[in-house]
Amino acid sequence: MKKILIILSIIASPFIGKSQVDFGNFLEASAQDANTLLENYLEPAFLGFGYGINSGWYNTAKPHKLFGFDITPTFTLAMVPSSGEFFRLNDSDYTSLRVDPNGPTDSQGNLIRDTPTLFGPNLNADFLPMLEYTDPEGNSYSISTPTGLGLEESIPFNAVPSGMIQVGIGLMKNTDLKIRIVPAIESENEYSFEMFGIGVMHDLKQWVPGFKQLPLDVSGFVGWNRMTTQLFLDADAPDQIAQFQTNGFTLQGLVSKQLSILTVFGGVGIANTKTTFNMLGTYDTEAGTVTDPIDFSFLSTGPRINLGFRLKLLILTLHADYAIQKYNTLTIGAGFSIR
Amino acid sequence: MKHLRKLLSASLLSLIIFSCGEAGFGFNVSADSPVTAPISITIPATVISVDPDATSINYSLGDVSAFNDALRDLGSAGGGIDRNSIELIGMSYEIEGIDSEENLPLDELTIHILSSTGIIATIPIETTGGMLTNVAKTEINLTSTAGNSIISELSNSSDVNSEVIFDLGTVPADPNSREIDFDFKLYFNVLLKVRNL
Repeated sequence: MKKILIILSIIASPFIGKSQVDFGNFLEASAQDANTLLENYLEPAFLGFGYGINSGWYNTAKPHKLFGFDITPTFTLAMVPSSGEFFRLNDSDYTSLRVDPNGPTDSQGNLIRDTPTLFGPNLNADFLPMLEYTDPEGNSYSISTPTGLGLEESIPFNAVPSGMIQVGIGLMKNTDLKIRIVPAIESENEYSFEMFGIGVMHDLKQWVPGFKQLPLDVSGFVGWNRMTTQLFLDADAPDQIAQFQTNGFTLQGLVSKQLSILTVFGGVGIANTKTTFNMLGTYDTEAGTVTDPIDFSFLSTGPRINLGFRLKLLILTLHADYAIQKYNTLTIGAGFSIR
Repeated sequence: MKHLRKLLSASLLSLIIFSCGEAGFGFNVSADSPVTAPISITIPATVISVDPDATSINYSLGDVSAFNDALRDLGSAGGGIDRNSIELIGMSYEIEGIDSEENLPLDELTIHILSSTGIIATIPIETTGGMLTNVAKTEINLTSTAGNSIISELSNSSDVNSEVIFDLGTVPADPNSREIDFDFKLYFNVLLKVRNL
């Protein structure tokens, strides 16, 4: 079980250290309850990361000329919405835990049940709900829920960072193929990492009579990517694996207008992201043996609208865009673009 | 991959550095834990008012497993804890193990909180119809003086000594003499506050 707690401690980074030991021991009461609580607590981090790596696919609606290409690294901040800063603790969602009825109350005297997520505010423990566990002997224990990072107290935004690098290649019929690839890297008995993404941008003006004269570039874009990381937790137990996987899909209609070195671009469409975190294998705990104890899954689909600009200085490009979606994203990047 | 790991570590570190809000990181932990005192009363062969000896009860924060890590974080190795880090949410008691034919008249039930210098608080317990009988877990009405005395003892030495005194009434004679055994449980509902981890 300690191994499970170590992994959870890493992903719940503010609790690395002594305090997590207390909380971890408390959660040993029920792996199912630990799943529910930590899934809610960590949701903005996973969703934000998913939205982040789903960004930065394009910075113009104009495809490369044949065999033109670009190499573009991007950095994205996925803004956590206010709805992602807290989650509600409902007793019915837990089997062994409940909100301590003697815990903190709000100014109206109501028991506090809303607790910060990892990306929520940093609250004093006196204002956090307390979770109560009663052992088989009838003794009850309570401990405060984790607080949030309180990022907004230090920096003017509350966001999940991520990064990406991609290559775009111009093909026939005004089509760009965009590739995001990191070949499988595996260190025996330690970890593996792989990423693959593919996107296609295709000029639409050529197919619509009369559109060719438009002083704009108009394209359609579809992209999909997957990133998978595995940590092999115990060389003597090869089935014990922590696996983190993010999938993203984007379908967009794009428009851009080039004015000398400046290109203004925008897109409208949908974005889908699914992030999973699993601990696979069989583990011995004080309460018995558990199999595949952690199974987090975060799925989000919705409309996406973005607007941005690109500066092109010979072959150097600098770009930034802001996308409005469930987790708004700010993407900046710099790269090389030829033809 | 080494560079990627360095990048991830640096990102995580930046996140933590930026993340230290004013409240910092801390937690409250509470436990409503009983200390069980086995009590044995001998009923003599003659009619007499029975006053058994006081029973000592020691409650120690260190005996509560849920507090182990909190006590370490509070630096209580020397025995003391900052008074602001302890709250006494309440106390309760429970009596169990008395058979129905063993009910005896009970004039008074009293708990004394002790320090090295003597009794520092007296807590009278309301009896059930003046009889010694089984009592389900029942909240004790604590005065603020008694509560403060207990918190002082806990903050000074991490434990509190008390004694329970059963003052029985006139017990009917039993020609064979006999013993009544039961358990008295005293619950301490204590909250510890750990801050600035």
